[in-house]
Order: sequence, then structure tokens, then C-alpha cells
Amino acid sequence: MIATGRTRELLSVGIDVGTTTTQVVFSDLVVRDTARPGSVPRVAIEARSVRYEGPIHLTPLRSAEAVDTDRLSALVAGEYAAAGVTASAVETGAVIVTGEIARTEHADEILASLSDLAGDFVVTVAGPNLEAQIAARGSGAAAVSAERYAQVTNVDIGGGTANAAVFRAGAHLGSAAAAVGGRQLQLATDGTVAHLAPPGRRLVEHLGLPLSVGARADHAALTRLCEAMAEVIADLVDGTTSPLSDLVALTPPLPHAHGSSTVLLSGGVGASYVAEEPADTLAQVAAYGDVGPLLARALRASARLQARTVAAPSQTLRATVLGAASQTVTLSGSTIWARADLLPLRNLPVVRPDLEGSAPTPEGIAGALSTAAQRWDRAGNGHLALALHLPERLDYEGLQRLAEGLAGYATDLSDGQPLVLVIGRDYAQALGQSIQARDPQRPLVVVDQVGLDEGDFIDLGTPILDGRAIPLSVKTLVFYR
Amino acid sequence: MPRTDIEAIVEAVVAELRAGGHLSEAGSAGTGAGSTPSSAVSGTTAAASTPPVDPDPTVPHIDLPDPSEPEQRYAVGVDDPIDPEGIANLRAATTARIAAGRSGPRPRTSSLLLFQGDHGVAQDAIYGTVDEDLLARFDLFRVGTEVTDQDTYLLRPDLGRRLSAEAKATIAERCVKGPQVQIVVGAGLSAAAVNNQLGQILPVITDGLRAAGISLGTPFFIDHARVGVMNDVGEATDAEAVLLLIGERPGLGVADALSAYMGYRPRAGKTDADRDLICMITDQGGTNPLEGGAYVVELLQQMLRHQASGVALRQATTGAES
Repeated sequence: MIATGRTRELLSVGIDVGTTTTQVVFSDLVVRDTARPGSVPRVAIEARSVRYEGPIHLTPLRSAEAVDTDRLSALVAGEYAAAGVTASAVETGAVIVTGEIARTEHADEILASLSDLAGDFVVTVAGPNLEAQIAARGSGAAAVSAERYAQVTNVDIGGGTANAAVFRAGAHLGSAAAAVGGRQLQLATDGTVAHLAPPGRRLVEHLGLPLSVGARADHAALTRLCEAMAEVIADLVDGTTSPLSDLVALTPPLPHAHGSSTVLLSGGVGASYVAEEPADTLAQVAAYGDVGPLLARALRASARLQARTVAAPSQTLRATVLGAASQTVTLSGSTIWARADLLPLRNLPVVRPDLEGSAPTPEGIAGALSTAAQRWDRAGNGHLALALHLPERLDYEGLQRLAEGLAGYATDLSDGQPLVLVIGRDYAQALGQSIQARDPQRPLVVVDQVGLDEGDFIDLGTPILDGRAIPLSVKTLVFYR
Repeated sequence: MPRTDIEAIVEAVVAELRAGGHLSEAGSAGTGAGSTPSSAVSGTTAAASTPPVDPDPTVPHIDLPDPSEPEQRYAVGVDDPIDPEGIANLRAATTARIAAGRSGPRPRTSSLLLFQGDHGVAQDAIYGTVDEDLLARFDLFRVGTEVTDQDTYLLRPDLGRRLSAEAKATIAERCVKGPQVQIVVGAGLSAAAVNNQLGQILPVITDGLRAAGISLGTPFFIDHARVGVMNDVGEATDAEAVLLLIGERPGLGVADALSAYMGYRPRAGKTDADRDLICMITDQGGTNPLEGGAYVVELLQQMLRHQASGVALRQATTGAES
């Protein structure tokens, strides 16, 4: 309660490196303790404002699927200079590598080339589900769902992929993605097919369309391809599968899909959908260089999609980068247990022990923890975060058993090796206190109100507002298949 | 009115209605579990009715769903809403009684029953008693204030802020003097708060303070206590800090919220400005008692470190930071 009313500002960067374009945005986040006097603290991100929005650059490519990392890092450095921001001033944010280029092995290389510019606590994300969520936050779809107490589905359709995310009353319910987008097929100005990405090729072959690289495209065949991609997007929105969508699916079907009456379209194709760019002749399509406007036209004509209310969000083209710049950092609960000298901790793999399946005794809990930790931490250096799914209501005896089990597990760790726990429900400070009482010397971090699953990675930042909360970013390093 | 009298009247009325053919057995499916033994009156009635489908018609049969169950409490009562999805999400977003609908100009029966039910829970909390076993489990002995009964407690808050002479004598005899933290418990306006939360929060607090090497006084329970009694507790125990766990005034919906009031060297003349507070400690939409307890430990440590509480603590911490 001592922190009531105080604020802290964070400068956040978003770097979106897509198949087609690259953009850099800087945002200011204001963090404040919003609790009323007499309540436990509640630190929240209160305001987000865009400080600098860079122009949209074409992503410098070496080939259709490989980024020229030298030119990319020069481009991003130029944006920092234009914004008047030094790398060290940036406290949070994300580099997002999206679409086709993220499928290739050199996605790591891209991230490495930007690491000097990205500051200490900038996360690197790639992965269809997280990307979908970030785009939906950046497009304003998440805010729309909160304001209207509605469920909406945002589909961000870019060059390589379409990423759908469902939000209900501001909360993320689920995501899904498919490899369809405007740049699955690229055209030269004379109307010949310049590039056909592998997912696009699978669709072309499945449909038996007369489209091949180097040959002049046929407008009817292009229309047919785009209608098929629109069908895939309709499947994505409906949470259904078909032989067609199975060819290009990147994730399982969208959960909670049926509950959304409104669909918002962001990304380049979303922008094209709103602008109603002409795509009635081959020349018009070829002038654009890819089938984005033609896909937008097919979406306008899709009866399945139009069965719902289709609208444009407040941000289309820049949804992903705006989301990356202002929406990737979250805050832990405000009653936590953390030794500040242990932080920041980066790239901790998240391990979820099977507490439900183990005996509810300290020994059973310790055993489940050891089993889970061994899955990830073969090196035994303890560089991991344990995600504990606790019952909705924990009583004192349950808390003590859990603390005893965790302390028992910790005895197998070497001295000084940190124990990092992440829990969904608001029990971090009580659990931290109970463990520390049993193992006073153990470096211990317990944060709560963060939902994590095995396979996630997490960055824990330096505590803010007198250690009241920890900024953290959940990311996935699982790239596209 | 004694319970047995009420039961006798109900039975007599039911018997009369049955005899006059105003009450049929059809649709009545009251369970016999936990019922009162059949009296002569109901026995006669059961024998007179054919067939005897209900073995015990004295058991009240409720053919409405329990309005306090979450499914009913959060049900949308508006007929044909323009935006069914929106109104359902809006209803789920608050505990306020919105989207309940109406029956002509009046509330629906379910709204009225819920309101009366919640009001009953609130009244039960005020007039309830604290579980003796719970006090025994934590070795809390009882002392009292200058209030002797619940009606006086409600009418005379000033008397609830003063320990009785007998209480002072008991404390002088039984309590450790000059501890760093003295813990006391009072039912305040909700015995349910103490019954539901104390078993969870108190051990977390004592564990946490002990682990931090802080000395604890002899804890006790104060009947008919108001928050201001902390000053007398401070005087009587010479504690450095006093923690009072006390039931909050119940609301319509949440009736078991506990508050933790803390003061540094509470003595005669200290006011709310000298105290710190964590309120709404409950599993029902508040801070859960385990986490609340851990935060109490943190605040008490801060208080002892800065030798201040309330406004003075705020000034000490913000001054030290700038």
C-alpha cells in the first residue's frame, strides 16, 4: 500500500520483421499501483502511447526466404537514430519474426543480428499463436471486445500467414494460424508468376491450377487460388478443418470459434479489404506484385465469412508491430516473493509438473517436481521456471504440503541455485514465505497471476515500484514448422 | 418464537389445506431427509390422502432453483435482449445486480428472493457467534470490552473501543509484555469472517513473523470489539505493533470478509490516521486469506523497520525514496 498512486514509465520497442515488410515502433508504457487505499497493491499498465512510428520498409531479402541480416540491422539502427532512442534506454518490447522467413533456420540469425539493438529486456518471439494474439491486441480488436463486452475474432492476414485470435471481454481465449496470405504467390509486372511459396504450391497442386513460376498467370486461376485461401480463412474463423485447410494449417483449429459474431481483419490483406483495391484484371493484380488485393476480394465474396459481421479494426497494416511495441509485456501479481538480486532472468524454459497426478503429500509433490525438471534440465543447472497449476482454493494445510514438497525438491539442487516458480492464482507471497521459512538460504522467486504452459519461455525483468511487481514476457521459441 | 411452535403451526395449516382439498399431493416431491419427526397431525393427514406418495408432507418443498447459486445469480433476466452475448458478458463482469430483468414494474420473484437471501446472510453474519473450537485451536482466550450484549455493541461503538477492567486484569495476568507484535482477534460485525478466514490467515501470519525473527505476544480474542480497541490493547500489552483481525460489516453478497488493522505503538489518542489496513480478505472476490496473511507480514516488517504506521509510515517510505 506504500506504493499507492506512484507511477513508473517504461520505454518499449516493437520490431516486426515480416516476409514483406519491416517496421519499428516505440511506445511509452505507464505503470501504476491502482489499488484503493486499504487494499492489497495492484500494479497495472495504465497507459500506452506510441512515441515513434517508423515508416514501413520492405524487408531486405537475400532470396525469397532469406533475410539480408546486415541490411536489416542497419535499417533498424537507422530507425533508432530517427526516433532519438538509444538501445540502453529501451526496457521492454519484442522483436517478432513473422511469416515465411520465420520458417527457415536462419530466424535465429535474424534475432541475433538485432540483439545488440534490442536492449536488455526485449523478447524475441516467433510462433503463430503468440503472433495472432499480439496482432489482435495491436489492431485494437482486444480493446473492442473489452469495450463492448463482446467476443470477437481478429484475423491478421499478411504476406505468408493468416493468424486468428479470439478475445472475449478483453481476455484472450485462443489462437490458430494457417499458411495463407497475399505473398503465397507473387507476380512480376508483366503478369508472370515470380514466386510460389510452398504452402501456396500445395494449394495450387491440390486444385490442379495452371500456375507455375515463370509462366504467365491466368486471372481465373489466380481467383480460384484466392477463393481457396478465403475458404481456408473461413475454416480458420469457424474453427473447422477441411482437406484444403489441412494442407496449410499451422496449428490445431481455433478454440471458442463459434462464439464470435464479429470478425475483424488486420494485416496487409485486411488493409486491402478495407481499401477495396481493384483486382478485376490480371494487370491490376500484377501491378500490386502479389495476390493480396485478389484475396481481399475473395474474402468480400465469401458467403461463409460474410455470415458474420466483418469489419476493420482501428489498425490494420501496423497491428503486429503496434502490438509488439506495447502489448507484449505483462506484469506479475502485486503480492509476490522475489529477491531482486536474482533478476533479471531470461529465457527460462517453463516446466509444468503434474501435481494433479501425484500423491498430495510433500514427497509426492517433490517427486512430481523432480520428474518434470529432469525433462528439461538435463544439464542440472536449474535454469528453468516451474509452472504450478494450483487448485482454485488452497487452504493452509495445502499450502504447507506444497511448500514442504518444493523445499524437498530444492534440497536436490545445489547451494545457491535459484528456485523460480510461476503460478496462475494469487498465492505467490504466501508460498514464497512458506518455502523461504524452510530453506532460508535458497534464492527464491515466486510470481503469480501468470498462466504458463510447458514449452513456453519466460523472461523475468527487474522488479519495479519497490519490488511490488515484475514485468515479464512470455514467449515461444517454437518457430513455424 | 420457538421453533417447535412454528413447526406445529405449519403442520396444522398444511393438514387443514389437505383436508379441505386445497393442497394436492401431485408434484410434491419433498425429501424426508433430515426432517422433523411426524406429529400426530401430519400422521392423520398422510393416512387420509390416497395414494400416500409423500411420506412426510411437513417437509417444505421448494420448487425454485436456489437463487444464490452462481448460475442463477449471474443469469440474465432481460427478455429478448438486443445483444444477448454482450449482456451475458456484461453480467459476468460484475457482482452488481444488473440485467436482472423485471416483471412489469416490479422485480422478478428470483431477484427478490436473492435480495432477501443475501440480506439474511448479512444479518446472520452480524448476529452469529464465533466457533469456540476455532479459538481453542489457536489458544485464544476471551476477554471483553465495556459492551455486554450485541444490541449495545451496535448502538454504542464507543464502548466497543474500550477493554473492560476485567479484560485488562486478565491480559496483565496472562500476556507476555512488550512483544514486537501483539495479535488480537475480534468478530466485529461478522462472526462468519472469523470462522471462515482465521484458520487460514493466522498460521500464515505467525509462521511469517516467526521466520522473520519477530517476537510475538500472547494472542487473544476480544468480544464486542471495535477497531479503536487497539489503543487499549497497546497500552495493556506494551506491544511495539498491534495487529487486529476483525470481521467487516457484511455486504449484500459477501458477508465473510476480514480486515487486518495494524498500528505502530497504538496508545490512547491514536486514530485511524495512525493505522494501516488490509480489507476484503475473503475467498469470495477479495484477497485470499493466505496471500493476505503474507502481505500482513510484509507490512508489519515495514512498520517495525520504520517505527511508524499510517500516515507517518507513508511519509517515512516516500521520503526515503525520493
